[in-house]
Amino acid sequence: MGFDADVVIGLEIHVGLSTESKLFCGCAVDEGEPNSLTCPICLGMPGSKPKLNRKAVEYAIRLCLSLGCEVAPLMMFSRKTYFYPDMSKNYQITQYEVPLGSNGVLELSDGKVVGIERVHVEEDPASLVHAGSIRDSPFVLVDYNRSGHPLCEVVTRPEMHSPEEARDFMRQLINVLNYLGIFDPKRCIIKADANISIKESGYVRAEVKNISGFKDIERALGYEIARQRQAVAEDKVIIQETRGFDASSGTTFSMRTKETEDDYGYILDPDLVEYVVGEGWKKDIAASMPELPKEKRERYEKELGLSSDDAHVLASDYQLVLLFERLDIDPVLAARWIRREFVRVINYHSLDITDVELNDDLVSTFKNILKMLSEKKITDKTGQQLMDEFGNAIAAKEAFDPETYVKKHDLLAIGDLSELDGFCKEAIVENQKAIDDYKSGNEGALNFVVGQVMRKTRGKADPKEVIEKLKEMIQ
Amino acid sequence: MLDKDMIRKIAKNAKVELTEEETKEFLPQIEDVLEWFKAIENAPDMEMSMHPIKIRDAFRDDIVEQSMPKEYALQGTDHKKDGYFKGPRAV
Amino acid sequence: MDLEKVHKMIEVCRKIDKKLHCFTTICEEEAISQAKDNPAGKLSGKFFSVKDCICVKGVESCAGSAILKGYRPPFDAFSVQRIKEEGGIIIGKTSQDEFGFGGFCVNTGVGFETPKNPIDDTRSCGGSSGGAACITKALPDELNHVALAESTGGSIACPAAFCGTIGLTPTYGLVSRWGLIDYGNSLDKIGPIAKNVPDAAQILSAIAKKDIRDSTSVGSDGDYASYLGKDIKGMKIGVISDNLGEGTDPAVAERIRKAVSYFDSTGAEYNEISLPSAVRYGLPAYYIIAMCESSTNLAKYCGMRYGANEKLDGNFNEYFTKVRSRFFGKEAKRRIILGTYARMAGYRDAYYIKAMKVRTKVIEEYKTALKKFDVLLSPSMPMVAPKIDEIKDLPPMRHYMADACTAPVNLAGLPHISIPCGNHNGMPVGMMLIGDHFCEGKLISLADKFERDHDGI
Repeated sequence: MGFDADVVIGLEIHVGLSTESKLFCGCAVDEGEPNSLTCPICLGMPGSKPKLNRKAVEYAIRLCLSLGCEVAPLMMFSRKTYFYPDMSKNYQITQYEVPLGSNGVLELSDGKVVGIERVHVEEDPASLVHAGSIRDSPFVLVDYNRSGHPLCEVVTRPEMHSPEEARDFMRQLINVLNYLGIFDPKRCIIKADANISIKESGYVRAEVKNISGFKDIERALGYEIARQRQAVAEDKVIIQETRGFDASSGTTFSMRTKETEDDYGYILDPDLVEYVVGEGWKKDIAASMPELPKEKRERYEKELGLSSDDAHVLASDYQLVLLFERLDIDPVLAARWIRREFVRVINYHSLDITDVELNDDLVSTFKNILKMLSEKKITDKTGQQLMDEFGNAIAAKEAFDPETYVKKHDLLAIGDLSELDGFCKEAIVENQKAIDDYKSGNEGALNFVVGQVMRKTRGKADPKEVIEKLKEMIQ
Repeated sequence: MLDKDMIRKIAKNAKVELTEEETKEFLPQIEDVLEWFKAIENAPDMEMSMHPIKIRDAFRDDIVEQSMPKEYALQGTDHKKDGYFKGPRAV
Repeated sequence: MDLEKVHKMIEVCRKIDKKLHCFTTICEEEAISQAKDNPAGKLSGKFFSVKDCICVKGVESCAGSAILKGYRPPFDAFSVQRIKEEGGIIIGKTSQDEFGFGGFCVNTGVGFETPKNPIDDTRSCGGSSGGAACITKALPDELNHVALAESTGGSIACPAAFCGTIGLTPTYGLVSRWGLIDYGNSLDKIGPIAKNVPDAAQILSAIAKKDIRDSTSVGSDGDYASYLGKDIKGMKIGVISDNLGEGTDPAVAERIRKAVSYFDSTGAEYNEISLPSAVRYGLPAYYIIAMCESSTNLAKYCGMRYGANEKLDGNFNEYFTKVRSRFFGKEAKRRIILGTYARMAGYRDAYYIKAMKVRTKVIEEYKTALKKFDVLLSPSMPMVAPKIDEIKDLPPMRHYMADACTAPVNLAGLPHISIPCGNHNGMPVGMMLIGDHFCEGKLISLADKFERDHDGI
């Protein structure tokens, strides 16, 4: 493959699917005391045999369809044999010969499209606990609760060219997963391995394994690019190797070189069979899929009358969609205030929307603010002020009562903002000379009329709004 | 080409260590068998058969079944601690 | 059930075992408690031995290997569960080649004894279900016993032939493999070794039910005993000429031809047929697939969670290697290496993938033949039971080639039955009848007729 970019990045992402039971047995996909959610199958006891969870396959097909993949008409599983203390059988049941999905795409937020090489289903190994640090403990402790969890692996083409793009990819993927309802961030893991190479080294590939979350992707890759560039500058040789990521220090460390990796010796798993993924099943799955971003965007615009910008921003983030659809209030108003104000205050506190827990309190607080706006009890300016306070409260994880705040700071607008129209009309009639002066170019003359209106409203109107209203009326 | 190094490499992959004696003994035996295996080269090319009979679509519903009691899971070994299995170092 | 009977049975088994080493475990306590429960069923009053690779809950099940010493499965194999449900009593686990790796039961695991042929104790019982055939033959008729055995490449037919018993290997997928400690998952079949055809047919009906826990289980609700006593006139028998020529002891070939004449005299028709692909490619393809699959099956044995283990020392590479090297027998190590090689990148296309394509060809050839004939006929083994001392020194290749008659049939997953059909030098000769997939009935009818007319075995 001919590269000419400075940086070439490909990702392999493992997504835990939110089924009730494991991929090959009936143990629950859940938290529990160590080894309390196990059975002969996920413990790899001799004599046990796997049985495929249909729902896990369905979820994976949903993902394949939403990524525009070609779906294999006949599905099979393979054994990938390698030895490690977290493996219940020292082989992993995965898909090697024929992946479930291939040749898909995912669109980044700037419209760039990243190719998806393959999507397949496989089982999770167990979890390891190290007594002490990973380096000096004399043994490991193994919990097989996680053994057999269903995973969907998404492998991208090496078409990303910066840590920011990789981060955005992860974010978009998580968004799609949320939309599809196949991933539960509370129960399921999502981890990525990143392949990265830089022009300066002649594109020698390093693999960074086990990165959790899209923020860490950016950190890990940022560090790795810097490390490689530094090494090249110091005339050191970059070797093809596997590296781990230490989230606490934000650094990568060497794990092993490719040469020492064992051959996996893939065979088809003869305890499993061939599974037909027919047109009928695919159609049923497609029909039962929840509304995807594109459809949502169109519905928001056509049926709810949102502006195309608002619809676009909302639909591209599942969290915002959840918030929007729970607010149950004038959709155009809600959309506008989510897009402009909610996102603004979240960003101001360097939070990501996914960091915000959309609980009942938060939703009702926001709803109250919007209610006051829609009932014209407060001005937009006041609304923004409330959003600032709301943002502070979210960041501090505290509660916020907008109604109390408004009363306390005497921010209630004049009784009815439609009264403002009346006051403006009056002021225009009462101050014809000033209006005429303004019309002939005297800007300051308008301010005088504004003052008159402010007196009528006893200072509760928003001067900016008054100016606009007067200007409108004068036209 | 099969030689002692190759046998050792495969044995290492499979986590089996052969003594020098065993390696010496196995080498000609394994060579013979591999040579004999080559007979299938001349067989006609056909579709693969994963099983002797065609079996399709053995699925499970996504229903949680009762797991094995923890004590049963742990009873088969002495290598355990605080409800975990103990295993050899990962590094 | 009368507990006295159970005690007597156990006593007799212990005596025989002392001489012939046919058991890895005799489970007296379990047998007594099963007899106390005594559910009424089709198998009430019958005793069963179970090949060591078939799991019996709470009873040490090692598949004849030292690496599984101490493993007490927390579940019964499906076939064992069915026997218990029908009132059968499990009395012990029978000896076998380690994990099924052998045709003479001389490849027993580290510390396990080779069973001796009850007819001549210097000779092999056959393998890998050697212990099963041994105890079946050695027990007196009155102690109503059937052995539950297993075949991957011929491990039911071979010991049945060498010990002079009936050995019925069903179609792949007829009997659930849940609870079978795997050798080759696309090749393993559980079936009975019995003194007579009616016993074999009866137990097959009990164990052949569909089991949803085994993805490859097809199962059947058939009543196989209904095929007993059927008229075989007009049935067409295809004699596999390739198995009666070079490579087969002429004395064995002669007994087989005699059996064919017998069938001819009953009104069944016969003709000769050659199966060149099965003969040329079937055996190597069988071994490639069996070794590839078994080398992955054996990966799980590493001293964690169950079975033999060592003191936890060193990193995982060191520890796993230590356990596996110590507790696997030589043949197991050899097959692990061969199986790992045949599926390695660079070799898997020529070996593993090609062998799976050969399976298709071999099945096609058999099926074409089985359109012309109701059953095919062949010796079960090319020789009678050899002396243990003689085979121990043979190179592995010679061991593998002894499976020439049975391996291609097993590769194709076809049902087959081995019936004693005469003796040579005092040792029994086994005749094998092969049917199309799920056509066990025809085999039972023919075997039953033969047995009745030859005065029992």
